[in-house]
Amino acid sequence: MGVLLSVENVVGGYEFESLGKKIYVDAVSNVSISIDDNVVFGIAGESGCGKSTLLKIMYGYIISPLKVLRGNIKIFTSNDSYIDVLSISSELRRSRVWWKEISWIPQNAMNVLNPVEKIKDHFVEILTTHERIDKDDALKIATEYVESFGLSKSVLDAYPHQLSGGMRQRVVIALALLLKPKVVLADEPTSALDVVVQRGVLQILLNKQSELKNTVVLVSHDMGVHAMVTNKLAVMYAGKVVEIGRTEDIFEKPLHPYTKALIDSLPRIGDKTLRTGLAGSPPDLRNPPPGCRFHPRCPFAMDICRKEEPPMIEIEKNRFVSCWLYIRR
Amino acid sequence: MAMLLELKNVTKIFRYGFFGFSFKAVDNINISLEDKPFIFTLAGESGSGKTTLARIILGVHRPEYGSVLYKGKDIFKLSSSEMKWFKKEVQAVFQDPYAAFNPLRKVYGYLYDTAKNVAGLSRDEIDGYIDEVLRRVGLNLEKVVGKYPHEFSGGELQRVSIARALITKPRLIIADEPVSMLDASLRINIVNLFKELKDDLKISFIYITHDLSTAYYISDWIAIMYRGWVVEQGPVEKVLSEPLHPYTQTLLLSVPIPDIRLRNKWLSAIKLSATIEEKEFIAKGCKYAGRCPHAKDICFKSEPPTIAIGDVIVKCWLYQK
Repeated sequence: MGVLLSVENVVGGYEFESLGKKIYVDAVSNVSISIDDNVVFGIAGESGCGKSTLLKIMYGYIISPLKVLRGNIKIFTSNDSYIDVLSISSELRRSRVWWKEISWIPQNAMNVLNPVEKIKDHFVEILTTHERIDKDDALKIATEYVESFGLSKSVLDAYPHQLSGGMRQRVVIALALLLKPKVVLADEPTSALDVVVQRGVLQILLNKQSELKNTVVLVSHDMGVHAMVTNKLAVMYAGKVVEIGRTEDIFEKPLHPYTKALIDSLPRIGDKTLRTGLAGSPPDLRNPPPGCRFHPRCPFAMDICRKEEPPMIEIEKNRFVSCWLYIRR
Repeated sequence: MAMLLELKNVTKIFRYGFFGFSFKAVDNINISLEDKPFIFTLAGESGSGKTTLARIILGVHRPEYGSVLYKGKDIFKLSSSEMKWFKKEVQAVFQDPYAAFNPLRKVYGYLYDTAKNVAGLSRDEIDGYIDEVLRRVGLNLEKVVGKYPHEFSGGELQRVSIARALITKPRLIIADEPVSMLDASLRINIVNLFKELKDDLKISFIYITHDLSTAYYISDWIAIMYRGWVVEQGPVEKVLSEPLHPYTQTLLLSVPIPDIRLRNKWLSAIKLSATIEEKEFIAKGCKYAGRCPHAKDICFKSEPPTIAIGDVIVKCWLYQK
């Protein structure tokens, strides 16, 4: 197993003007993650923590007001060659990288599907523009292909609005995997679905992953989903990654106080003991607090947490945490 | 014991189009709440009719059949003074607090209006009382006065809308997905608040949710809805630990649990439907038969009976002796 996708010191955020003043919202603040091949890598965190923004940057989908100030995203094609997603031209990204090397599954399928095109036209369009395949062959391929996602052929003749949410999401997953990209970015792919359908859709995503041996980066706010699906997990808070590790290790023994609070705040069926959440709310990223961004809500905050930002340290093999509690000084 | 709320054979029909494709969004529902502090959960997935049922209880939708009795009075046959009383007694909290408040109006105005018009307080009592109510939900007057909705976080604004509901000293609060928009770490605080309000102020809740974990955590009783039916209801510990209806069983098994030991069970395959769905609302027999792993011939032909097993009531042919 080697590194497939490398996120290096990425700083990005939203820049806009309000009342004549330039405002910058620090959404992704110096994030570095390396993601291996053949893995389901989860990114957890609550709304506004920067997880979706990070995913957009990984995809190279930078449209105003989103700005990337620093950092690199590399997709390794072999040991020493890579695609630098952020610095190649947008034409190249569209023609060579998207769909073929990296694809994106959004929360709302209608962000990808064209409401006035039949489902089959979506498949045909991708196949004919990216591969040298004519229209009839493309249609043949699509017909066989959709059945492997548990969809009947009749779906191809439907318009997106005629499908249920779960079927639409399966269509989008099928499109994203069509050209067998090495990296699939899934942004809350099942958050709008009911739990039974969510379970079915995620199972399909996992089966395909083990078939294709690609890497799925799964963003979800739902710690339950991460426990059921991912192999590795990064937890984000206020634009920073606070903890990275194997999913089972993180659930077994969360290191960062935020991760611990996040897991402890979830009620479980069969358990009525009192649970407590976190006091306060996440900081305003127009003006983030100094030091550790979690310190205003952290029950263990010390002096240094208010002043200096904790570095990310590896405390055991494959376990990283960014917290002063774990740094001997 | 006297009943706080009783729904008897309530059916609500929605019609689409000029020639009237119609279906029953709420189909022959019977539920009741005793007159004691109680949290009653209506759980179900999208399209199960839980919000429609909430609106019926609030008097927004008038059901085609059946009746809704609040403290023994039919809520659709109230005199105007009784209507005023009913609006004080029964309050609502909705899913999206930002949608509940006008973005161009300061939220204090809502609290003031409710205190003045619905609770009928005099002008010099109002501020003190609003402050008291806000403190109940972990805020105070100072934190709220002069602010617009966007100046609050989602969790805070939901607290304001709960405070607004508390102003009239209600006996019953209908909370429709009140925590679905909130992050997990804040969600539990609001859910705990409901528990406190039940214990301290003796308020009953109808808690409408798709989230079985919080339902288990706070409620006394749960009714599982599917396509307009209540397919199973009973004490929450019983229904969610030994579910009887095949739908409740699948639903329960599908909830992603933050416990990695349950992964394999969760990953055991389920099958999604392959073709364009679905006429489940207007199916002849059991509306779940098309997906049910235990479906028999009779399930496709006639509507299942409701059967009491201990204190659980289940609507399924499997339990017919």
